[in-house]
Amino acid sequence: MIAESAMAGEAIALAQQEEDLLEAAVREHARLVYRIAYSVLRNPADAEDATQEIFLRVLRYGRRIARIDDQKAWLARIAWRVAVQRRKNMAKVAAGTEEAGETLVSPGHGADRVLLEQERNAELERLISALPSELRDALVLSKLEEIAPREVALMLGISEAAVRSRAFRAREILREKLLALTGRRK
Amino acid sequence: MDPIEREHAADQWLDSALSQYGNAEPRTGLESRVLANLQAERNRMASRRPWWWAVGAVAAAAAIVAVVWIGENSRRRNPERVAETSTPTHHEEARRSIEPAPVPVPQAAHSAKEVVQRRPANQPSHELAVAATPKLDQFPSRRSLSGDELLLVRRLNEPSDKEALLGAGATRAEGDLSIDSLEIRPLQIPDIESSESKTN
Repeated sequence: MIAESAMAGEAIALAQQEEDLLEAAVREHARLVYRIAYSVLRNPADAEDATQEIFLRVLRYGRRIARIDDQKAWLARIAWRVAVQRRKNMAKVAAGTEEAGETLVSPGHGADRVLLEQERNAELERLISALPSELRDALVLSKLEEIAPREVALMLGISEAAVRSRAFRAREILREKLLALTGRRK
Repeated sequence: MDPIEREHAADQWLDSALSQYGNAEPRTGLESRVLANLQAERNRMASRRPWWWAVGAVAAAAAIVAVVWIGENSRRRNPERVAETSTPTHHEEARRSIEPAPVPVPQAAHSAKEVVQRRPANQPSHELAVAATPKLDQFPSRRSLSGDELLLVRRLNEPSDKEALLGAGATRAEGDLSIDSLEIRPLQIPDIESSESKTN
């Protein structure tokens, strides 16, 4: 009887521990997970849906979450996989939406400046989405502040040097295209 | 604008735009929404668990009942089959069964066409299963012997070397016995004196 109650108490304690761990993970890394999802899906609603799905997967993972050493890197990898899968499943990826433009606008400027910024951001969005996927992924992930190049390399399954090289190549392509666009306008 | 200046401006703008590109902010309260969703999922999982247990228990019970019922049925049917398929155990019978003989075509009591018929709705399925195959006179059915088997049978039918020798011995023993008359000759001792004179 005493053993049974002790076992039940232990199970409750473990469940509580699991709940606490998950809550801590959500509070600490939900923003990063959202950003990774957003960098792939380019749509706030889809990114939030993906964030919910990622944490539901973690919940089903259960008590094993306690055994994970680097939760941030682990969550980032799950977020990347889920987001990429969603992108594949989606019939049409929203590229250069109005909402995305709004998020990139710097506050505190005049209306004409805001419009110009929006226009250029939409252009940039279009150019990034036109990049080859391996270059785009490396560029987008390396621009996320919270993720180190080592973690990006792990997520993409390539070396750190390859991540840097791809990001540099992607940036060069964007720069050339932007210069060509501005030169044409002039 | 100077081209170098233009390039510099483009670089600056690209850097700032790319740094903003990745740092998208979610709507306020993302964490609370995720936590609420997780709590709802936990509750759903907790409410689903007893239901699954009940379904599992019922399925297991049904499986056990089915196994017991099938086992009981097959046990009831088995004694008849054992009687039908009894095989000769005596050595002689076994030997006779592998002797080369004209292989009879297994004659079914009914032809397969006659036997295979549609089961009436009120007839149990096991009866049809029995009737579907033609009943043979002998089980297992006879088949023609291979070359090696024919040689073995021939060898078994031939009297062996040992038997031939024993047979020869028996015929010799049965023949007339004649014993030669014994003749005992007297012992001949050579003369000592004559032998001594020869040596001198």
